[in-house]
Amino acid sequence: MVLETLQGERYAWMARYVIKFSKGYGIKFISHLDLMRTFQRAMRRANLPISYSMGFNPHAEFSFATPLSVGTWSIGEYMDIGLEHEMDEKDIVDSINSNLPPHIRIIGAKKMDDKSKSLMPMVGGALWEVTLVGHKGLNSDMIKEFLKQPEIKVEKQGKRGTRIIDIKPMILNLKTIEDNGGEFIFSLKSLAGSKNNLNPDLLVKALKAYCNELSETEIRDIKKIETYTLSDDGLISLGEFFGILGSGLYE
Amino acid sequence: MTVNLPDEVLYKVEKPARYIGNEVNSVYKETQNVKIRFAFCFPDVYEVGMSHLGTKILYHMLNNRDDTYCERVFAPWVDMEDEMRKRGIKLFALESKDEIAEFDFIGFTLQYEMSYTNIVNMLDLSGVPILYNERKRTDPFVICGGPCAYNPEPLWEIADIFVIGEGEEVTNEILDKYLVWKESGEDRTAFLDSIACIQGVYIPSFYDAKYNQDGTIKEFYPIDDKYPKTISKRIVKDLDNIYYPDDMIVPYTDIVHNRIMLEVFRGCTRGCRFCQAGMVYRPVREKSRETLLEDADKLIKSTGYEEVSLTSLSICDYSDIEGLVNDIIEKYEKDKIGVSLPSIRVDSFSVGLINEIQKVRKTGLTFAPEAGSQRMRDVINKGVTEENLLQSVSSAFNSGWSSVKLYFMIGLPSETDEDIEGITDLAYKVVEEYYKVPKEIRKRGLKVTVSTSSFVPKPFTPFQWEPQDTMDELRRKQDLLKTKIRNKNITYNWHESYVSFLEGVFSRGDRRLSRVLIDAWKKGCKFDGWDKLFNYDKWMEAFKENGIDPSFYANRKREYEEVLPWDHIDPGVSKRYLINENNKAKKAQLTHDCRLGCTGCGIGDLAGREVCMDGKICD
Repeated sequence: MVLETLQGERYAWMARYVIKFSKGYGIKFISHLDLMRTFQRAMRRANLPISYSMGFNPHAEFSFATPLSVGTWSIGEYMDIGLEHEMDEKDIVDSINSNLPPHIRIIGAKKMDDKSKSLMPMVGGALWEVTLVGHKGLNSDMIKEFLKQPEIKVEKQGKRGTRIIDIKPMILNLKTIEDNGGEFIFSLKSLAGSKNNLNPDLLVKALKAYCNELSETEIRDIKKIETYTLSDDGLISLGEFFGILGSGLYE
Repeated sequence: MTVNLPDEVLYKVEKPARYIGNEVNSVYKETQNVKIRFAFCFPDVYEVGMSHLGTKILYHMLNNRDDTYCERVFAPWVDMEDEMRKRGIKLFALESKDEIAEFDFIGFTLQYEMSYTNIVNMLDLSGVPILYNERKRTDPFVICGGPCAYNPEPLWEIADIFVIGEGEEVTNEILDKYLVWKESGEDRTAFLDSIACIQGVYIPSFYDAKYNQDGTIKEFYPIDDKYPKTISKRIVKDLDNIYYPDDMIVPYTDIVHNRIMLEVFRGCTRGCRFCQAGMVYRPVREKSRETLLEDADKLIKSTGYEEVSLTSLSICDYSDIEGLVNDIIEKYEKDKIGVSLPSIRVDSFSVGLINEIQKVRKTGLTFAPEAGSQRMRDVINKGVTEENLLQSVSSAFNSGWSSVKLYFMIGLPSETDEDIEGITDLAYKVVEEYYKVPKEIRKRGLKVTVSTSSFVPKPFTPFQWEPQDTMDELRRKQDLLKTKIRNKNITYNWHESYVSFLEGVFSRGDRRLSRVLIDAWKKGCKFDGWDKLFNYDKWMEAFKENGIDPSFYANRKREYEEVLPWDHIDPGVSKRYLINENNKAKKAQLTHDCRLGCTGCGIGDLAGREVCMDGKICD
């Protein structure tokens, strides 16, 4: 079967799989592009019958559901790949895993319906865990006050310059997990995807703008727990949606 | 001790992936199981250092020893350095994140002179004394090697040990001696003494210099008769049987040369008179096709890279280059693995070959005629004619290329304005060749890029006695080109002349420059190879304060009789040969490629005549 993308690249593939994977803490500082390259090479080492684009510069056919920023690690990432023929799901997982660096793991794979959409437009939300340090004055009460504002305006750097946006409608849930003096940990459930997307660093920026005492506050860690899609029952994880084993553990 | 590097630091700096390690094929060992900790330092940023083949070879080779743990260290970029100094974080190794001050060896590879301030800076960041005579018994030994070690003198007070020549065998010999010394309880000098007579080892503190009134060297001598008067470089005789890694680190982040590097041969037979590599890497030794295919296969499997770069000086000179390229392409075409040639000759054979390789993507071709006029090309012994070049570009345009880069040097010995104008003429003729190709065949969008770099005379080349053009003269020549090149299809690029000047000073410098180097660093000089960080004024202050005139090193003509600062190093190529070549240059006489017959450079005496091209040349 041949598929032509909007960019005019043509792919020949027989079977498409959705794959859930993790990007480990030890390599959280690599970029989205770095991660793509890493997968390209791992799949090459794994000798999978991966489909290649038929353009001038052949590259393996796979795409990530969402890009992951430098500094973010994740236990709930998704991608889809095209293979030239069907394979046992467990074999796909094992063969990629044995060729991945130790900090990246495939959690599960599931064959996709040929007609099913690509993952990227399916993404609707995400769950994050953020650790801050130097947070003198920050506590769960302040978070509650922060959320009571009618709107939360913050300057967002985009490809076409900066603009002011209101992030309040994108915050689905924000709660303190731990405040031990040294570190302040909170979780954030937010909208994600191409239309409305809120990453934790933007939220931290808004928080710092809200309270002067937080000028010394620094991000120590951003962990992504899960990627969601919007279904009739609200947000459910992509893993659950496709029925990947090992999903839904972190709810 | 492992450094405390909190993540919030890495969130702040540019490209944090430079500092995290953990790449595929990087080596991790239990530190309590090894006897030698070796910090392999590249005095530039990660992306540059990780692209260097020698570092890859030695890293994996050293880690092949059970008793040794070799880790990588790169120069932290200025933003990271600021954070480290602010928080008291010492320079650490990428793998273990341990402070390198506690290691047994700190090794630096010397690839270009403009990285010397980074060496000083890295030692300072690690907390190891910068000067050799201030280091204590528990401090690491600082060991340096690489092409710039052929003139080690500007770094003599900073390094404890220099390795001259190819490092594979001699480094192992040094480590073996180190294990004995480590157990012995003797002082630092005792270790240096125990290795001083190994071929390829130079211990600068065992030598001293006397100077003449005019600033030239009167005498250079070992402080004790037991040390060798001249230090011969090390040569690996049989490349088929020397260690070559079967895996290479695959970085996460993009680096300058992000592909498999397959070393095909060492040395070069062309004898270009400006080229240091062409002289000091002699004799030519080729790997067999079988070895290369085996190496390629292992590396493709272990890395997953999609490109194999055949790496050598003048790669198309390999005896069976077509066979090798075809074998690799045939074997891996189905896996979408490509071959690339980093350097190609100005001839139609090379264009034909590259046409085979790049069947689909015609990205751009680079040719290096090096000089604009035939006379000038004969002076530098670049055996290339205008006809060669025009034929090559013509066949490139006919095969679908429309973007061509031409690389030249300016400031070559005996150069006149006529020679400079020859660069313009040649570029215009290349444009003409393009329009000679019928419209329906040639690809649209002609782009000719002319780049000039400024010639820097290097030790152990026939031009080692020649003055470098002054900065004003170089700028005048660049301006001349800027006014002459007026064509919408031609772009002209040039290098800043003050960087070339400083490179010229250090490449032929002597011991007295080490204090200038340290003072320039104290004033804030580092990353001198990076245009935006280079600070010419601070360098000039450092020279002035030390009472040293930099033009004495860069712009002065030397007589053949003068004692040169690197005369105690023996690269195998004889001074007699270099003088003869310089004399021929003055008469614009060519010397033929030594694949066509021995030209008597002297390397056979050092390497053994059977080593030079497997005895095919020297007889």
